[in-house]
Amino acid sequence: MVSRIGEGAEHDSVLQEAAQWSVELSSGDIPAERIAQWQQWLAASEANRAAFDSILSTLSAVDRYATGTVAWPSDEQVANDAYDGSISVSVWRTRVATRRNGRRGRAWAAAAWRRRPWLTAGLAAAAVATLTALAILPVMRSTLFAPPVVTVVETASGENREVRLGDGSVVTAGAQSVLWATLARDSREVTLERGEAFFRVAKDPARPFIVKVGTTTVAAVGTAFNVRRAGERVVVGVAEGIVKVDARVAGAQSSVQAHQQRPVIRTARLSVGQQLSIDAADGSASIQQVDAIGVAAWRAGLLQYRNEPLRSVIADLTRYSARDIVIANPQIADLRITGTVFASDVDSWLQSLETALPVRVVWAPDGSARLESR
Amino acid sequence: MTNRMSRDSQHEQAGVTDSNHAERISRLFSEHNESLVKFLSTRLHSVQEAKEVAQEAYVRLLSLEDAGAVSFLRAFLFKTAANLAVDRIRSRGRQRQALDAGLCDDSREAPTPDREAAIAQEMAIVRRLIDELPPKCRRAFLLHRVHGAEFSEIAQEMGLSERMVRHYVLRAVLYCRAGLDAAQSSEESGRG
Repeated sequence: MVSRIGEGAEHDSVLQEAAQWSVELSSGDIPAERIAQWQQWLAASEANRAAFDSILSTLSAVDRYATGTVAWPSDEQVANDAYDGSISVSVWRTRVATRRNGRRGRAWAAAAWRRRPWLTAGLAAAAVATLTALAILPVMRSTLFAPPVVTVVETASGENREVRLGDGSVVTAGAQSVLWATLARDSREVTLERGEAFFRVAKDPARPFIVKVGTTTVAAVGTAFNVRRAGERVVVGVAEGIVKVDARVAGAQSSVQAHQQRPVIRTARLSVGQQLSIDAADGSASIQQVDAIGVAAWRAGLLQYRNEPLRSVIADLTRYSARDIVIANPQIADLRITGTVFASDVDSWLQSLETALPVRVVWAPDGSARLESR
Repeated sequence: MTNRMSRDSQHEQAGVTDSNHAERISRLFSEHNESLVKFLSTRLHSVQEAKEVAQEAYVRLLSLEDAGAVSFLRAFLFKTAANLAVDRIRSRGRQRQALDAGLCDDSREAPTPDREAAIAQEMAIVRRLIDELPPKCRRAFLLHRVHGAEFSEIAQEMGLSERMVRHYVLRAVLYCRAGLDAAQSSEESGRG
């Protein structure tokens, strides 16, 4: 059950858009221009239309069956619920389950401690039995009694956190990132829902270490690499060893035809110092040579970008900056950025953009920054 | 996007001069009926209901004295349809009471045993998925879908912002979609 989270509809960006539209359309007074924009979105691709229909069929299934004796939550449950909608329901459920398992684990350890006198007394007599049990136990533990261990990591704005997983691998999550790692008997899988993470993978040839990010899969056996996600764009950089990347992207380079083609799988093998950028939306992908140390320089507060569109740089920077940064004009969103930003001083970098690009920075009274074309 | 919109309205302006009222509305209807039915389906409980309301909105439009520009007509079509949907949601409670009292007869064909089993299974899945939602999210979602409450009403009742209510509904829809997908794929692999 747990290993299934992260797959399927809940993290699919087209379905998310479709669901967003369905929410907007389903209640209250909706302005005519929003309806027109929705119609354009619907007409833009077969995928959009299919996604919207799939959301409609979900709603109709709910409407059909959520009647009569459906379980309404009690006032007490509602009052004690801290879920704020910022993460998907699956992630929330995993976290609740992880906490519950954690409590159970501690309770069990305490009980074992209390049983210790009995264990010590019976130790000699049980020596033979123990030897037999030891031979069997690992097998039983691994096949029958070892549910996957799930670790959820979530960081706040401007916070980096290092977490050691059960297999010895170390994950460093960047600011405003959400990921969960599922360690099972024969697999190690991490889903990066949002943000950025650097992985130092413990060697275990029997259990490949896989990172899923959107429709992209990164596989490694004993290596160190970085994965960053900003919307549809995924950037994978290698600091040590080799990783293999499979990306499911839109079928055509031309965005005009993109909706007519089936998604294709693009595969790349990356070695030290190589960085792959993939944009699942338009199907573009490129490999650059970067400094192997620079791959995860963000851990020291240096955010490095190489030939990346302004929109994905801004999406990334908002994880570090307290203010909202808005790109006011679509025509500047694809301007290319190469450079280093100090995570602690995003504002100065924004200001300096005026000298490098045809943009103007407007500091709004509400604390947000607007980038406008000039 | 701006380009396409302005071309669209030019096209509509041209439409105003060369066709009469009924023709204009009929064309408007054929152009927008599909999305109008989808739009209404987000608010109503079935596609059939949505089609009925769309049809009714069309009739209302035909009875307009002076239709004005078509860009106005389109807005009017969706607005009228939305209002009709609200009426229908309000009357739903009354209808249910009438049905319980045996006054209405919903004469549809009885489903086959196979179909009945499939329905029972789907019902169990949907109810489980709803049950798995976080409590606040579940209440907001049920108020919205089952009671047909507006986001502003739910916000007021639950003491939340309207934005949060929308967020809950969005998360709930996506979770149910994912759950139905997972149930379907496990059923398929079970068969194969």
